[in-house]
Amino acid sequence: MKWLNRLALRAAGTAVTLLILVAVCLMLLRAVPGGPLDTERDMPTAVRAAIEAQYGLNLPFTEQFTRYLRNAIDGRLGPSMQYPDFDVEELIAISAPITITLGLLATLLALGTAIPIAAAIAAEPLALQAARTGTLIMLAVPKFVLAPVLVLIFSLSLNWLPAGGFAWNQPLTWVLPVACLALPQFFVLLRVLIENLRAAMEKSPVIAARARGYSPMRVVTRHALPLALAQTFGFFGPILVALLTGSAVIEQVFNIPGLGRYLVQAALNRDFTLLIGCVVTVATITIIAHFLVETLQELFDPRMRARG
Amino acid sequence: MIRIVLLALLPAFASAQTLERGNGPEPDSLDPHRAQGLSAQQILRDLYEPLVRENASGEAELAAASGVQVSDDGLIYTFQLREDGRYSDGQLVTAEDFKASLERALDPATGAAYGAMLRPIRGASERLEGNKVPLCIEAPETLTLRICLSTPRADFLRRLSLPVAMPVPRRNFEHGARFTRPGVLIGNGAYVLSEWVPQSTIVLTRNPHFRQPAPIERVRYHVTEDAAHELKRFTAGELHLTETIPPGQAARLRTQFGDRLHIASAYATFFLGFNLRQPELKNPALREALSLAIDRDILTRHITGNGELPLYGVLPNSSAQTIDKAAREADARARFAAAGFARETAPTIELRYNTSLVNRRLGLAIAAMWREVLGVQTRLRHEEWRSFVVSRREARITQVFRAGWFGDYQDPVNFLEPFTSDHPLNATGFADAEFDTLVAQVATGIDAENAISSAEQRLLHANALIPLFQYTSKHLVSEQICGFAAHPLDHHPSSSMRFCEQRTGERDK
Repeated sequence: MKWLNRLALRAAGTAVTLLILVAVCLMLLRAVPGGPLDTERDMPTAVRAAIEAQYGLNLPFTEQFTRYLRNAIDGRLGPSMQYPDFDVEELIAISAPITITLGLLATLLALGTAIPIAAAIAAEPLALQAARTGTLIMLAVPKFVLAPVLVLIFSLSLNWLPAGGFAWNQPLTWVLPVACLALPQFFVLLRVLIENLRAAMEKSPVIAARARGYSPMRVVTRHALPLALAQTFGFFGPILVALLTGSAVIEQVFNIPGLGRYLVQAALNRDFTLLIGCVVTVATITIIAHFLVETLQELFDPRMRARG
Repeated sequence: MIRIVLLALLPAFASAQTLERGNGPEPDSLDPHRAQGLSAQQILRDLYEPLVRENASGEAELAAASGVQVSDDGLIYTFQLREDGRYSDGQLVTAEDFKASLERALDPATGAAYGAMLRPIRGASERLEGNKVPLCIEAPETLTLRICLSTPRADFLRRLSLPVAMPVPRRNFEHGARFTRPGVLIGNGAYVLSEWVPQSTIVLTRNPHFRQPAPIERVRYHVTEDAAHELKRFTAGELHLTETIPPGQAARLRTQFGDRLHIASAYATFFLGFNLRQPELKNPALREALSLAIDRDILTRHITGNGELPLYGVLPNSSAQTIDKAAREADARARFAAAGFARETAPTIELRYNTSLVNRRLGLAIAAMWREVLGVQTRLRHEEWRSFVVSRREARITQVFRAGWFGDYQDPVNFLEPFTSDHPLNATGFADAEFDTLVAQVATGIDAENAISSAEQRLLHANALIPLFQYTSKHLVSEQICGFAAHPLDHHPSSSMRFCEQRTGERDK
């Protein structure tokens, strides 16, 4: 019962957030110089007017807003302005799964590598120091530098992996993008995990385990690691958001038809319908991700439940 | 070992019978009437065949038409369509199809940005403004199409080579606005649309009903927005043909790829425009001094660096006059003095361009030249594309602005008309009745040669613009591909290419 209430409250909050987002987007797009129909062509006035009427660009703000909402509730986001052959919901249905899949794979990869490595080196002061320094350096490398370097090594020199493109049925095309997305997250996680592990080692249950004479390995994996992981959950939210926003760069560099690319292009092209569609999708994913993370956190960490 | 395993998992990349083409940005639309971008037009020329097309030597040649007669007054065009013209669904391409398609292009509700290209047709301008006047297009017989114009236009045939004049059959667009899907789109070109993954790839397969089957069975167009990345994919063997090369790399790529790098002059110019409405720029001697102070050779050799030709005229391929640097700069200073300026009193001038690395470098170089030769200070202003287009068109805040023009078809009128007084794209504010008359004469084609050179001279003499260079088309072509030919408009129909080993032992090189 308590759960249902919270869920309803969440949903209501999400709806309000999305409404505000749509309104802000529409307002910003009206304020920005240059519109979707401003090209180097000489477009006859009646043609221009016909297109504007199709998209409701000639309407006052409130009408534009209500019309958009009415259509959105019916699941119609309208045709894209830059790509009129497609409806926005179609483009999102094609692109969002790609971005989400790559993001999840990257998260799993980052987690799957960061946890064992952190556990292995938490007790080694030298390795620890090296990891700290390495993390700082790697975090400073932007993705648009990292990606071409990986392409240079794995595609051009070794010829192992395709240099770009994406296809669901060719998993090899996923490898480099996922690696590029995962690498910075891996270092963030590693750093956080190591610090949390160090802190966990000082906690009384872990000290008690050490006092019982368990092997260091067992102390770390059975006692310190669960504590450290629970502490680390808080970072998942920001990491998921970073994956979504970071995908814009990766998708551009690797020519992947994902959501991030549409987001950037729609803004540059003043593609109102597509931009709002993308913003709402990204916002929804972010909110859901945060909600899931919080729920997980409560499951793993009884202290959070007590507070809630 | 790993490599072998990995390669085995890579079946679709650069497979033998698919032509993998880099094609720049995602095409905006595959509806010939709505498409505006060059990337869409490249694909549309594979999917549809207009009445005429422009060949590599710059001539308009018959395509879907087998003959054309023009009346003596130049007003009535009668086209004979091919008897073997077939759509991808096997049906005959009829005059009625062309008529219905042109009518659709001229309906404002279609939203055809290029509709204005059909204005010479009698009744077209009124149609484009939403008045349902009769349109002078008739289909007296199944294969006879008659179009009449309101005034003679020498470039009319070439205009009919544009996608906006391609024959979309009525049974196709009656499907709704978005008939451009694989399996739905019906074209009369050498290829048919079989797959479209937005922002990624478009696959075409040979149209079995086309009169001359294309040598290559499948073509995959890749979205390649970033030239550097496209180059990597070409180097990795994932592309047979690139859309372009990164700026300034021609020399290096020539060493690396030899004659697989194709560079050719394009029918396109890059220039700076003056906003003549600004009081600071009303002085013609100042404008001339600014133009003379720029060393085009430095710009093309060290900044664009992909074989661009320095330009001193308004039209592409205008004779390059190499003036001695010292004489040119002395001349610039003399004109500057004649304008009433000295180094100490030199004005500050704004140069506005759309954000791009090359434009920025060009801007910096030009600013340096102006400062060195004349003492003029430059305020460099850059704007993102859509805002820039608006600023330039509104001409309220612009002073000197970056401009460029890609000829839609090969006719000088393309480059002259945007400077006529009432042209919507005239961002300079240049207004000269004599020039307008000359351009109108060029358009009708009567004594065109003289009118063209007089009009160009008038425009140059008025110093309404600073021509800088002529663009080039740049492609890397795999050694497996034969039949690629330079084209001034950068048209490269897939049907003109083939895999070299396709016909046994036959190689072009």
